[in-house]
Amino acid sequence: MPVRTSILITASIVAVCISITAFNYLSTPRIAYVRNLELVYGYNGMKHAHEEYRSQTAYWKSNIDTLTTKYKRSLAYYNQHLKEFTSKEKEDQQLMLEKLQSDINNYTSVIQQEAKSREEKLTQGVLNQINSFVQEYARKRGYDIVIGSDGTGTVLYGNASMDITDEVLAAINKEYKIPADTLAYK
Amino acid sequence: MRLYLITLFAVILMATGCRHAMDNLSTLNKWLNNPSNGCIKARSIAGVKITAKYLPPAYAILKHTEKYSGASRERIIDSLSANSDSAYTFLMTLSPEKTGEDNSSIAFKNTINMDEYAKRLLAMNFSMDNCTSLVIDNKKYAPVISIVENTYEMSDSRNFLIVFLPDRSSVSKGKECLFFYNDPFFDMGNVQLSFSMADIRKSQTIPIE
Repeated sequence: MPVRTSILITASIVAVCISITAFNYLSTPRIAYVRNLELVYGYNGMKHAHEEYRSQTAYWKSNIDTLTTKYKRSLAYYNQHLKEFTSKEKEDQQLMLEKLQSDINNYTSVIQQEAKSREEKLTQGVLNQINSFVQEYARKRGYDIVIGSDGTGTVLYGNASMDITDEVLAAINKEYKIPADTLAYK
Repeated sequence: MRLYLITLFAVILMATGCRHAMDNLSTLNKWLNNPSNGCIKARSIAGVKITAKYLPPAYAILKHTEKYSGASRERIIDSLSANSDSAYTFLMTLSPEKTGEDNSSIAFKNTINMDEYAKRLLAMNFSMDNCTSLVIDNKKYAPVISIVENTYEMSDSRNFLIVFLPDRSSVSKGKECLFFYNDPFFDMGNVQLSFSMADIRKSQTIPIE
């Protein structure tokens, strides 16, 4: 067999092998996973939302404390002067105490509902931000599937090389900085 | 030969060093809409695209002088340039990620009845100053003006002009400008768009002719 023919045959075999390998590589879906909880709680947007929520709940709690203090003072006054009150004054004082107690209960109940709704809204907003970011991130880097590995227990094992949590977290936090002191207007 | 090289160097320096003066709004808009100039930032969250564009003083000046020409235009430009204050104006746009579909307007998105739609329009018109803020080097500023540009327009998006008045010291020394939009309509959360103060300062020196 002439040398030229054998070179051609070898080159053809190599080309076919390369093509098959490339085809296999390209047709295999790129899969990665992220550790959901670490991504969600490591995200600066979540930390900022928590800080805002904490600040808001502290404000509500201070209002409840004010109402409670007012009630306690009125109750102490009532107990202190109980013997001096006429029956009409006693009745008025009791009505006022009942009203104060009712105000505290109503306010606490409304605030609890508001706090729950606020927390749900903040969390949903953060989750939507993360979902949209991961979708865009995966699209740009050519991932076909990105799986969330904890929280719901959908992935029991994943090779560490497929774990992209740290890089996604670094990228998403690059887009969200927590200002050191942003709770009050300057 | 030496003189020739010096002249050539000077010409190259002039060609690359000089900034093209803006003479109309469309040229300026083209420049502002180029992401590499750093005056426009966008994010898409939960099917809604939010864009914030910093509008330098040149924008207001060109908008006010569009109808004038000649000496009167020059005088108005000089007057407005001299009085351009430290107001920071942003054009925030909320638009659906997918446009062109039926009822894809952002004014209707996720609303189930006319009552919700009316409440949203009311909030968009009168409460957006509660939803936006600006942070320059850890100092937070509330808007002094916020208006909807196109309440009843048929387009899918809504534009909001939001004006802040930051301290002069923050403006001159600041490194980063964070625009916050705390979304009450689409579950987008507290969205942050980060601008470099160097880019903003650069846009403030755009020459007008």
